[in-house]
Amino acid sequence: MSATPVAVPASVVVAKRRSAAVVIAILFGLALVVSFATLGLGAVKVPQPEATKALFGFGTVDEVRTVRDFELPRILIAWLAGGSLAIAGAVVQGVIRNPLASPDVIGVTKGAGLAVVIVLLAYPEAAVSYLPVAAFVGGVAAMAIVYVLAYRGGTTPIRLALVGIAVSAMFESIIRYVMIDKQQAVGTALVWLTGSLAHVDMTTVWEFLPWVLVLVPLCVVYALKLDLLGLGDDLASGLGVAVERTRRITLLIAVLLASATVAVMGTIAFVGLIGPHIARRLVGSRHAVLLPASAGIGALLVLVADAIGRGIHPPVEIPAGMITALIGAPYFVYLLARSL
Amino acid sequence: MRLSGSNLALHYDSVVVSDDLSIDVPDGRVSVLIGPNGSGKSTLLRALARLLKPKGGAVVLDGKQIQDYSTKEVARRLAILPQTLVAPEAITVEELVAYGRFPQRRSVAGLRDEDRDAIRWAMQVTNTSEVRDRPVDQLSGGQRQRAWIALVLAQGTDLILLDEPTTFLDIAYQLEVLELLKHLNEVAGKTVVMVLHDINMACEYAHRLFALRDGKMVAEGDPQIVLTADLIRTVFGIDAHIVNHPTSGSPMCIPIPTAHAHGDLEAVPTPA
Amino acid sequence: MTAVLLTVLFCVGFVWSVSIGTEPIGLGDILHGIVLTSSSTDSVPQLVVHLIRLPRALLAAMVGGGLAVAGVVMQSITRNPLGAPDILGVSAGAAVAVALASTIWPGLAGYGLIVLSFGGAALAAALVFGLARFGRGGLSPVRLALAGVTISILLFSLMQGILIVFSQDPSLFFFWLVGGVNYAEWHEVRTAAPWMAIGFLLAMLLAARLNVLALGDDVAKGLGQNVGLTRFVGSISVVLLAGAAVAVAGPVAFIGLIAPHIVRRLVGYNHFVVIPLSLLLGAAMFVYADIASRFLIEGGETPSGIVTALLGAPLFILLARREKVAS
Repeated sequence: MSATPVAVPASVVVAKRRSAAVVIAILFGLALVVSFATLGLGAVKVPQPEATKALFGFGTVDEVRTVRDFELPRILIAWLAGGSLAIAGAVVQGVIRNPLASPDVIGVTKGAGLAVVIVLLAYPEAAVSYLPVAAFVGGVAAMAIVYVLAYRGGTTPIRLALVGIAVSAMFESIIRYVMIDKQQAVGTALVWLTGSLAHVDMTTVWEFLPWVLVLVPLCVVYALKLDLLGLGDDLASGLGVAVERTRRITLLIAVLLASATVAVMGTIAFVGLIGPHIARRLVGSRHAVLLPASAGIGALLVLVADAIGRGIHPPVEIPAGMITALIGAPYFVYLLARSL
Repeated sequence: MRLSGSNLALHYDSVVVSDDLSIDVPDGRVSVLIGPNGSGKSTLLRALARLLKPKGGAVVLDGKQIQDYSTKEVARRLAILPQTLVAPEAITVEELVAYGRFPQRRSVAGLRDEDRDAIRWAMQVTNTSEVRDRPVDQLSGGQRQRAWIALVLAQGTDLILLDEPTTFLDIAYQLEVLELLKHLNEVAGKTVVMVLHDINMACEYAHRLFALRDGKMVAEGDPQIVLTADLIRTVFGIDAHIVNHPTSGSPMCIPIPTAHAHGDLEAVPTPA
Repeated sequence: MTAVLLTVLFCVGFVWSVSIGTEPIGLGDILHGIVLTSSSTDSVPQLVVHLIRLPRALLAAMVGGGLAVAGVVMQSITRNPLGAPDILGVSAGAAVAVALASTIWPGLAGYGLIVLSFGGAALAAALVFGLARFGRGGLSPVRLALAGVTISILLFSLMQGILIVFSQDPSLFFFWLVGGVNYAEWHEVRTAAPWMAIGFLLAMLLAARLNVLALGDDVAKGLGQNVGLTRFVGSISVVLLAGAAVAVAGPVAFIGLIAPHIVRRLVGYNHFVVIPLSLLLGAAMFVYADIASRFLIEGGETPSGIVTALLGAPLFILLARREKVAS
């Protein structure tokens, strides 16, 4: 029942390597194009040349305000958070050595969700500004729990994956119990959990930026070690990688990144899973190129999802998290078709 | 003598593999560990490579306890090629061999000239230069194994440990790999320690043979002297003729089929 | 023997379940109510037992048993100790299909819903397998589990979205989140029973083959078994059992995972024994869970599925921690 390995001709591999930089450039370029194209979409529509002009301060007060205060932050967050989430996903896949791993399935997302639900439902009067903090703490705590539970003289990628799934399931159960027991504010919690960029403003951007500036370069520093982890614990250790410590640190970085994105835009499904998948097909598995490529695709995914959510039926806004879930479905069907 | 293990008590997955195992690895020589499954040969090799922490006793490398070094420091002195080898998708030979430079590099720095030289040398010695740009999983069995050996060669260590480097290879490729290791030892002075499951290959290529059974060192020394029918019986539980290889003179073991753990068909009637 | 113990356990639970309610009812009336064949009695307590409590207990037993057997078959055909309808996405698929259907076409009758449930379950299973085969490496238990969770997340978030948008009834929402038999009626029992019976029968028919399949695909083929057919029929059994269970009781979690493990620890791996005993244990488990759910909140009902969710999760973690699962 195993998938047949796909034979990649040597010429394609060589071409792939040299053009990784080109691919990454194209991805980011595409994201830029989409950013500008969707600049004016939303409840208050601002058509194109006006929208770009408004970005630089030219145009009516309303146009400038709409573009600068509402659209711009969303696009910036889509870039930063979408890219970060995809990078976190790539790192998790590298540590667990499994392309199906993602922060969603190993407990981070559910932990963040649980924390948010608890805060929202137990203290409905709590200020909305507490939610991101709760999400962040929840995500990190969840990963800590998973790590501790998976630790038996050390962790293995398999145990991390399985315990992560189990802990996720437990959090999901608790979430459901809390929601049933205290049925108020279910709607808010759900919308928040589904993930959207609706409440994003420039303050959010400034608050999120430090995380990106610190954590993403750290990921790049660990890129080579992640490559070596992929060769197996024994060989990595033989080549001088402190395997358990590297696993711990890179997981921590990924979890911090993922939790921060949940704090900012809720849980947007599948970016952390599909972003790295597609990136790997385009540029290969070396993390030095995989991480930037994943970031590009992650940014694109969130940009497009948010744009669709805003633009499809204004003024009603469909949360970006739902759109990515809807994108996920055909992607998986495509994978199914390919595997048959 | 750079690498040795004294009074090693080795546990693996809560099974006691050995409780008092000692080994002195001769420098500049090819040493081979043989023994049946469960004899502890792989476990001993892993302990020597610092992949397994002994419950008792000590492994000493260059005069210091191996646990006292950092992982990177060990990697600069000793290279290990484990038994199961998985390459990431679509990685080329050259990229794979480049990983071998990790212990000598700083994480974010690019490859320096000495790194490129080492990589080039490793590929030349293993005869993998022509396939440098091919994906590793597309190579033949022998080529692939040579690419992995190039990786550990690129590490630039004089001590090389290999865990069953020939086990799943066709015989032609087995010879390829073993000849390469012999060449590295003779010309570049590398100390090679490997676990082999083929007794005859072991005798052909080993300067020093270490025979284990049930976690105990049963015999060690020059194969010419050490390989006797008694040894085979003790270690492997079979009878064998010992003859000399017609060309090289190394001792060879030819098993004698003996009676039997099976029942006698003539005594037990076959069902209709 | 274990079978006797489990039967006793089940019967006690069953009778207990039927005896709980707002009105205390004596044991005699209970027993009469159970064996009543028609609603032609004047005794109100017996009617209550017959029309309200009995279907609930019966449905709990059926759903629990059905999910447990589905779990056994899934674990055997995927050779994955973490196989279960809820973990490998099957329950999610069924739940989404039914939730969608009942919100968008509220008038859809029971039989139509069940068929849609089967469709959802089958589609979800296919998606999980497709995803699990992505990339290199074989179809390992870890991959299946990861794929199952991913697809479950996908389906549940789709379902949540649809329910938020289209449905006015929050309790309906919770029902489809955790499942329960709290408002069971005979109608549901009658709808699900034939399909679950077929599913169970199929499972028992496969018992011998599943025993052989456990030895490995190559060995099984060497012994002349059509491995693909076994898996296919097994999948049908799972879809029928899980699909029917979810259609009437929502996506109840963990019974399909844990019951088979407990049974195997008690009686070994022979499917001829494991399947019926899992049926019994699963039935007992959910009956007790249903009982517990009535005491969880003062003066109110919580969906029965919440108990299995809360209790099953830590057990799942223990399993994940301990399992020697091949990569």
